[in-house]
Amino acid sequence: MKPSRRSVLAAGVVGVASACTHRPRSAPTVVSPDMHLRTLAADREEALLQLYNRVLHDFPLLAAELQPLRAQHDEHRRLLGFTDAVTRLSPAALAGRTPAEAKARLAALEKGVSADHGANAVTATRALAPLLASLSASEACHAAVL
Amino acid sequence: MTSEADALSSLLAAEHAAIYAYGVLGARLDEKTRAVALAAFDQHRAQREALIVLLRARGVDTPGPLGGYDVSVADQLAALRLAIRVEDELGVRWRDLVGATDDAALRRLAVDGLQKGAVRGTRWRQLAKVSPLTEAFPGQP
Repeated sequence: MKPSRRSVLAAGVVGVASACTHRPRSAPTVVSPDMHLRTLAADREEALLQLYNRVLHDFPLLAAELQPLRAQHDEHRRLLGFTDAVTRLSPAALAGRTPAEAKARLAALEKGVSADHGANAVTATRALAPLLASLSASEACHAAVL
Repeated sequence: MTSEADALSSLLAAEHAAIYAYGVLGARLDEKTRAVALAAFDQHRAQREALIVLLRARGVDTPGPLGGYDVSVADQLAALRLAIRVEDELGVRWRDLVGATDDAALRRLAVDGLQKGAVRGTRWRQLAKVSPLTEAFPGQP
């Protein structure tokens, strides 16, 4: 396709503007020091959500008890900056064979995630650390009620 | 931004208030529930002592308790609700401290304080039959 006059002129303006900035062609992308910790935290929340999905699928009678906890993990992910819904389920083998076993496995995962969020809260920047500390506390409470 | 010393001082003041409140509310609880309050009371006293040591190590004055606090508790349910409020308010102070320091040991202490207080708050919510039992963001004002 033949470029239009307007697009050629526009490209020229961009070229001049770029030439004046003295920046290298491939400037390194600036990544927030917390981005990695944020992503790790969101991944942990996703693992919890997948296990909740599996347990709720296998033991629907637990819904009244588990849905409020699951909803809080959705909120955790949202505040970490991840808004997509988690609909996948953990493999069936992870959920356990009885409701009691399933709850025990959820409690164990909540405890582990609480510890990991807490450890990351110690090294995160002051901007992210309070949020990770709150998430750690929230998961500890979940483990306590399960 | 809150300074580390301000966050510690504010936390100490809140611990003084919590200890007073547990003394009042414990009298309105039945024997079984009082044991839970007594354990919490002891944990708060230990936290108060730890905070005094930390403030003194930084050369900061340690505020004492006020002469009295505006708490009145009519019955067991009011006592349980007061315990929930105490833990929620302390959670805000612990979270403040997390964001006010870069000292790893102090951060760890603050994360632990927030976590333990939130779990105590959840226990009180269970006893008071308050729903939801847990908060998505403990310590968030």
